[in-house]
Amino acid sequence: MSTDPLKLLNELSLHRLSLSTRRNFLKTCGLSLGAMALTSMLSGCDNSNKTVSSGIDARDITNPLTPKAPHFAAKAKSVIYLHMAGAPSQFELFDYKPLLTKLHGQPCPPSLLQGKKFAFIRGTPLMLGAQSQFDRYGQSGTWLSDRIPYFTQVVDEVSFLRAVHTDQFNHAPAQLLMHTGSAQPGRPSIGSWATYGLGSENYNLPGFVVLTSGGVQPDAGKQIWGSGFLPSVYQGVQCRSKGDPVLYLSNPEGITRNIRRQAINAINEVNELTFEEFGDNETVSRIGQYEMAFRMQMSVPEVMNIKDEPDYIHEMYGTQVGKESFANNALLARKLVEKGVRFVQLFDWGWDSHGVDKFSALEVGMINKCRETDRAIAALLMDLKQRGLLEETLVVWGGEFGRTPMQENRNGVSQQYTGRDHHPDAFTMWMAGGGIKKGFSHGTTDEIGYEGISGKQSVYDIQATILNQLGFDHEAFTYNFQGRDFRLTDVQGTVIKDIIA
Amino acid sequence: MNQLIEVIGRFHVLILHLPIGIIVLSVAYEWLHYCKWKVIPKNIRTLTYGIGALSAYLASISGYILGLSEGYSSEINNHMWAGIITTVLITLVWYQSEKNSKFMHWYALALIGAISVTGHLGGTLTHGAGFLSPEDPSESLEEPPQFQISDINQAMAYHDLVQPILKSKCTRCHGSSKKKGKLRLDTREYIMAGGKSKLNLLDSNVEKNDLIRRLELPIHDDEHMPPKGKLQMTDSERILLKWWIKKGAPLDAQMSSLQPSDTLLSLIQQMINTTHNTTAPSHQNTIPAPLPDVQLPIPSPRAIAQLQSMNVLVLPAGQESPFLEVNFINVDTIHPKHWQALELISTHIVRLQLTHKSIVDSDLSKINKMQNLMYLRIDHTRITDRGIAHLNDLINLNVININNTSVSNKGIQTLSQLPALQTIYAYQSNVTTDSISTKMKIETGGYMIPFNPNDTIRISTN
Repeated sequence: MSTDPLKLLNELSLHRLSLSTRRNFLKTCGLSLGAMALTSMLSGCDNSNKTVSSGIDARDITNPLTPKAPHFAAKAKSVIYLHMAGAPSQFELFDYKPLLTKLHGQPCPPSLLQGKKFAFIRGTPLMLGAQSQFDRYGQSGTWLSDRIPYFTQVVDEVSFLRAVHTDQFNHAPAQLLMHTGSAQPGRPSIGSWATYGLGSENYNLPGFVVLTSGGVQPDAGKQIWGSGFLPSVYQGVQCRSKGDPVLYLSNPEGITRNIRRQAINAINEVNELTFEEFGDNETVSRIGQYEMAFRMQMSVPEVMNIKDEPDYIHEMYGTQVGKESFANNALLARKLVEKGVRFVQLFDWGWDSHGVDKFSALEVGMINKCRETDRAIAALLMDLKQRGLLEETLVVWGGEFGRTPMQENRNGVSQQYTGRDHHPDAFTMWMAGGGIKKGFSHGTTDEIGYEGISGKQSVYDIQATILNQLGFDHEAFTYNFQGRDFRLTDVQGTVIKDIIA
Repeated sequence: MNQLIEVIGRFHVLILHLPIGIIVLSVAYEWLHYCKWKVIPKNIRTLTYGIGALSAYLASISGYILGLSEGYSSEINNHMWAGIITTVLITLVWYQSEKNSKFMHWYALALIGAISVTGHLGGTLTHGAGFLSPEDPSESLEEPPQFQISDINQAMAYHDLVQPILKSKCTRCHGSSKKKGKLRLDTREYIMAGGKSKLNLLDSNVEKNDLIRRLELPIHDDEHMPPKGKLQMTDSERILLKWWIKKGAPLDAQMSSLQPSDTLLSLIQQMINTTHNTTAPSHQNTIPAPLPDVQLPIPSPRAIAQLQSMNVLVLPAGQESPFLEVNFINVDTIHPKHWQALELISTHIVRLQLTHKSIVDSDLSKINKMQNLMYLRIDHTRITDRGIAHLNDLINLNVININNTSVSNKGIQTLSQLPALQTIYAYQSNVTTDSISTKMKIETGGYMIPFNPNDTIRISTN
């Protein structure tokens, strides 16, 4: 957006002139007629509910983020999705398996390896017991490990899903599947679907905000908060807790807010003409995005500023102003939800505990990751609760898959540090608030946590449940693209009724 | 050859519509002619009876074959005899028509009677007895299994656990009345005998057991049991069945003698507990939030448009719901005009958010008229105990948020009279008490996680 606004003004007047010259008319007339015929033939490539053609007041649709009602009365107004990118080990956190501890160090029986594919394990690996101590916590008496001491204080707010499974065992496709319902790129993310269905409650803020921490972007890249084939206005807006909250949002030096306003007016006029000419919804999105960006110049710095939070809140979350951290993002998530943002997506990178080095070791790096997130997650749940927000905010925690009960032996060689390989068949996720049962566990895994034996839930079931809490029937929530209706859950998914309060 | 005959049987459900249609047509001809409304030549009427008779024979034969191949019992007899009578009757009527009988119109009426009875009996066979009057729940309702168990260890594996599951999920179609695929699952012997395919369904090699295979197939698979649309088996029920079969499917064995693992026992315990209080009906795909149980006309579109033009968010609580959710989040200052418009839709409002808005105590008397209000946020406002005292008619109010107000313990005493109120959020208010009545939760918050220097330590990863 650093283009010189004066140039744009010139462009506008040139554009106006070109519309009124006879030569220009004669030059383009043949082409335009052809294009008109073509657009009417190619309409299948665009949004099906397009009733707009040139001449209709564009204002009705210039705000694609206008709030909308979901299918039915919803228990959750917002979602905070905490994604631990890299896939944390369920064995060191939630899935207590005494038998696995007993079997520690023994070679894995061949029956468990038959027909299985692993990312790195080769030959016969050794069984690996939990590298942490477990005890029971809360009224619910849930088994939890000593890695997450603060989480034990809020365990009674949470419903665990202990037998989630996916069908991808590499990070990028598994993250895509988790967030877009497809292991291939190109589908809209769950936050985009939510914003497409609900719009943005706060006129001055986007409906879908993304915050990342851990120093590295998730493996699947920005497409996991992309809008796919939905209009691009529904994609997640990535904000930063350090430096400019949104990149390229602030005005360049010497440009006042007034000049910016004039520039945007000029750009919008050009875009409105383009829309009248071609009737493409992306043009409307573009107008909406310029307008939203203009409003965000004022609203975002305010909401993204944690300086004014009282000290006890900083102490509770473990936040440090001006730093990029998961704790800062957790506090921001609360602030955003408080301001009416529908979907806040947090990605924290660094949970891929293979044990190939200290960083990825269960006994070193993972402990650090727990310390970086545990306090903030507990604080987030407590803070949402006392503000009355947890009632209507669904909090989801999880990775993209689980980890093996066997120790990783990359290339068949035993490693200096302990780690676990990727495991898609059984892992733990949890949900809290937004109409979810408190202090509940759903599903069980077998005695070494290798596979789910009851309450097995797929990634699609998680998505169906999130949509249900927001008031959507995932089977009826569709978008017509290239001639067919698409769903987040494709042809699968059932709402996990057992965990709904 | 057998398969071909079976296919002919299946065609019964198609062919049976021919005699019904033709008989109705022939009777119509007969009476139109009799009443002299239309002249229909005799040869046409006779021909119609003739074709009707022919189709009745086809329907009877295919029906008989179908009855043999599908697992029906005596319930089929009435339909069969009614069908035979109808076929004989139409043959006779055709014969009489050839003979120019004078009583043709009466014969025709008898035909209508016969085909109606036959059709009704047949329809009952395919759709079940409760189809015509579905409000009578005694026949059609599928219920989760009822267990009568006090101590799992002493329970009989088959009688107390397996049989109730099969009774709830299987024997409606594979039992004494209906025997789909010639399979009965109501006693152990029948299960062992299997159905048409004659497979032993108690084969303790569960990898090859057809019963287990079909239970474990994904629901979209054609061979999955119970079929899509019927009450499905839960995971625990499936696990228990598989385990029992694996143990050799003993008829008279106590659970304790079969040495179940602790995981299994806790699963069974959970299964018994949950079937006692099943809440969500299993045919429902979605679970909406509850709304007041009252009928309302649609809310005034003018009032909604007026509020929207003043930046108020007004949305139905779900598409096509008459209830409304109202949010002032984008409003800078509240005007009397806002309240006037709100009054026009006051009974429709179920959720109202006035966080951070300039409302005063007297405004709460207007809110008190919103009799269906379930969720109220008046946090971060200047309201006091005097304002709260207005809220005494909100019989549907479930949650109220008075965070960051000067409301005190005295103020929320009024709220204890509200019958549906469950949660009061009173963080950073003057409320100090944790409870005013047992069913009400007061959240005063103020959570702290004290600083712990150890938390900031990171283990070096270099």
